[in-house]
Amino acid sequence: MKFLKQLLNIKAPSSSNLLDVAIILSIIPHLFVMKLFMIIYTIIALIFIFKKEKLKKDQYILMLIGLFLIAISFFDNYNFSNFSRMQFFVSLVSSLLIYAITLQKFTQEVNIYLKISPVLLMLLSFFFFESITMLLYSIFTLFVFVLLNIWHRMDAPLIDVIKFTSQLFILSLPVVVILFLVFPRISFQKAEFGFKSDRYSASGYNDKMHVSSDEFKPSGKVVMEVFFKDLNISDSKLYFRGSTLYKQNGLNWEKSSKSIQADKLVKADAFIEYDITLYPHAQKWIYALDIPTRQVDKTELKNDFTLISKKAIYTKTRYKLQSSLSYKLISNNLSTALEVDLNGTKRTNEVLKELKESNLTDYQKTAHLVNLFRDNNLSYTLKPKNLNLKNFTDSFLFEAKNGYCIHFASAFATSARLLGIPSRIVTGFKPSKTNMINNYLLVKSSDSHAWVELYIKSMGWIRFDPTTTASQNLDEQDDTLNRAQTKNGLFQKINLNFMYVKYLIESWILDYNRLKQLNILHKLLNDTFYLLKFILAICGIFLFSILLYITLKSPRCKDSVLCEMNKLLKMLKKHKLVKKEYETMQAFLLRAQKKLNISLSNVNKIYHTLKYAQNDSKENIVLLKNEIKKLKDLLK
Amino acid sequence: MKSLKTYISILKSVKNRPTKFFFFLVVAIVSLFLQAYIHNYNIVFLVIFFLVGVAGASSLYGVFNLYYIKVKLLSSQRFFAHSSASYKLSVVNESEYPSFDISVTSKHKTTYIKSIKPYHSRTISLEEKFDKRGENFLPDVRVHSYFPLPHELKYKDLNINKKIIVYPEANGVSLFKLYNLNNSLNGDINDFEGIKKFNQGDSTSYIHWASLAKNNSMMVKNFIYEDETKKLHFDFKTMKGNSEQKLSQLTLWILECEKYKLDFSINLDANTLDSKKISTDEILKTIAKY
Repeated sequence: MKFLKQLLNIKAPSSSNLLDVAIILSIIPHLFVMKLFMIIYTIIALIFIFKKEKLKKDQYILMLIGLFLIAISFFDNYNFSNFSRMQFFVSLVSSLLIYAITLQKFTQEVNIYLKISPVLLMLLSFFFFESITMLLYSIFTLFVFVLLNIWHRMDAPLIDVIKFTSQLFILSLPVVVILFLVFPRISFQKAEFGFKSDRYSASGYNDKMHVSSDEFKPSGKVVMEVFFKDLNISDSKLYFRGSTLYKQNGLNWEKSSKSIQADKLVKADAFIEYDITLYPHAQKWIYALDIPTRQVDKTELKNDFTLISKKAIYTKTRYKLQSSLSYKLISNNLSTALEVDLNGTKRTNEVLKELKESNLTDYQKTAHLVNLFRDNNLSYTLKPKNLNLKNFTDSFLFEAKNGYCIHFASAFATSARLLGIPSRIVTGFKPSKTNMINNYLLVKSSDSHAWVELYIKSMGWIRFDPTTTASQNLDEQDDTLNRAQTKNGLFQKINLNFMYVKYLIESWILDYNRLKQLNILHKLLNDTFYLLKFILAICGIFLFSILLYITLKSPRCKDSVLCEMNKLLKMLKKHKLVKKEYETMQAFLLRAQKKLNISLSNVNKIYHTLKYAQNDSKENIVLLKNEIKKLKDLLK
Repeated sequence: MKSLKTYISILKSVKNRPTKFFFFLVVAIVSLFLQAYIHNYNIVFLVIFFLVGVAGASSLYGVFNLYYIKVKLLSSQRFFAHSSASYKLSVVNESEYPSFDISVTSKHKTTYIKSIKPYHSRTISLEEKFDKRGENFLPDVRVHSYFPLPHELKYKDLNINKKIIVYPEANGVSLFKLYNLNNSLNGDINDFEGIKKFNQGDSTSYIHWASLAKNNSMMVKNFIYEDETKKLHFDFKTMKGNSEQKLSQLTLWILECEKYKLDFSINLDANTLDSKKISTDEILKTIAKY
């Protein structure tokens, strides 16, 4: 705290030091994409720069080391394979610029090139990342550049320069907002600049399903963000389709190796429009709400109405999708959906034999199957116990009676096939509306889910979620887990709100494009209420800026007594009484008293007691405040 | 709240012109714009808009930084034609906020002031040079500043509005050189014929330091020409040269007489200017206006 106070009160350092601050600040984003050998060079260069005794030969040594390390840094990329030209170009220019800066710094001579180097570094850094962090960092860097420039001319401590620079930025805010909204754009697309990160996280999803007895450890990693156009979506409809798994291979469910004839969508109602922002997962899956009705740019709608990207997803990608919540999906070739592995289903088969041979329709049989699952008193748990994987279906339904979604889905799909009803498992995500704010839904890795689709002749493929047949959730009864969840509850809520704000910034700032601009214009021209809201928002920004500006403009109070007196002086100024530079406070107050014909002797007395009798007790300051307040009322 | 009219008059009162940094800013904005426009790169767009906004806000601040700066003439040296003379100005900040980075410029000198506190003033010295003798006005001084950002130079011209007299250029043959030639006075102006005891009122510049060092007694030099009975008479008519040359010569002699405390009188046409009756400034003024 003391350090901060000292820091805020320092006066402008030399212009060379200010330049160093600007260079360091603009070099930081480069460090994140810098090759290892360039980082090594930067460290070596810093050692040379800070060396007390500088020899002429040191400069040549540094020059050679730099050239050598830059060459090594880019050695692998000379063939250009798997390396974008833009990345190569920007990395190389950035490295050469840093090389030049370090050599110039070594000479201790500040030339024009060194002066403009922070701006060049900043311009280059825009090629690196396109994220909220980069947005904030860019504005922060710009703020500091302006601050350093002003500080160089302003004979004042840092705190005053920060205040002044803030005033400039606040004044510019309405201009920025208006220009950002109305400045004509030509592109509908978001920029695809930015280095493709090597880092991506597993979504917790796989297009295979392996039934095991291992504990499932849910992860809180974000898989995607969904923004619905309308709010009218129920929790029971939130099924995001990943893959359909037909083939049962022991404990594994896989996509069919045979080419499956395309499902046919014969009826689709209750359309819903939404955007999904998919986090990189290095795969092609796109999780669309069950079921997607159209493919969008760079995607493919597969036979089974799953949506995939044409290329693996390595960057955060946004898709504008449409789905139908009420549909009829029919299929002609169902042989694969009836293939059943009888291993471990002996008891199940016996139980279902009567139902299978009954004259009931497939739908009625399904209803009985659901009831059977319900009546079997199955429990939901992420830590399954006593499962015998050799006889999985029998073991799950009649012995262990506990498990999580994949156990329920596998047993249900197998049972349906035993009944002669075509079935397939669908894997994807089933988020909850508890992770929803307004139209925004956050889908996490822990929301990964598996459910079953059964083919009912008259209805086509119908979704059944066998996990809902669980009579109890064993994990909810676990006190330790509950306590931990309650503790995490608040954190999750904060996190959700944070993610929502982040999403809004991304969609309204980073992804703002011509389409959104045209939408706003269209609404402004056609919707009076929207126009009114828009005008009010702009006025609000103006008002906010002005208020903030006034708050910051008021001079910093260094001496509480003088600050109080300044209020009085300001008041008297309105009555054309200005204290002269040579005039003492006493003389001025006497002059004012004479001119205004009011008594200022109390203020005079308290002020001089506080100022010169070293009696600056709080009571006296309160007295002075009250006296000034009284005068204020009187002068009104 | 000040009226819009007042604000407009404030904005008009301070002028500006772009600096080299302005062109650098334009180049930076254009390059950023190309990057942003083609790819709809909103981070870059925002940086551009902030640059534009901050540059605009900075211009406004620059105007207010200078608007409340006023200057007042405090004193000046004597002005002689063809030679520089300095004058003192009080630079006052009449605003309730401090002003920064102010330069006050006359034709011949620039003085830099880092900051002036609210309702405070700073005294500076400037120089001026006139080509013609006679009555003149001190020209406007220019107050300029690069504050807060250096992309434009804000400036305003302030009228000092002070009538001054520019005396003729002091030029010609030195009075003492002339007397040496005529042999009517002996010795050089710096020669002294002895030393005497220091009395109250004696000039400290006459102190004979050698005596003080040797004998520790305060003695002063007794100059040859310090003869109060002698009075010099200059007649404008009989002097050589044209009028301007004669006036320059007279100015030089008047200054020399003033320096060495010699009494003199000048016959200028029908007037006689006697140093015992009127001040040197008045005599110089009459000559300047001749």
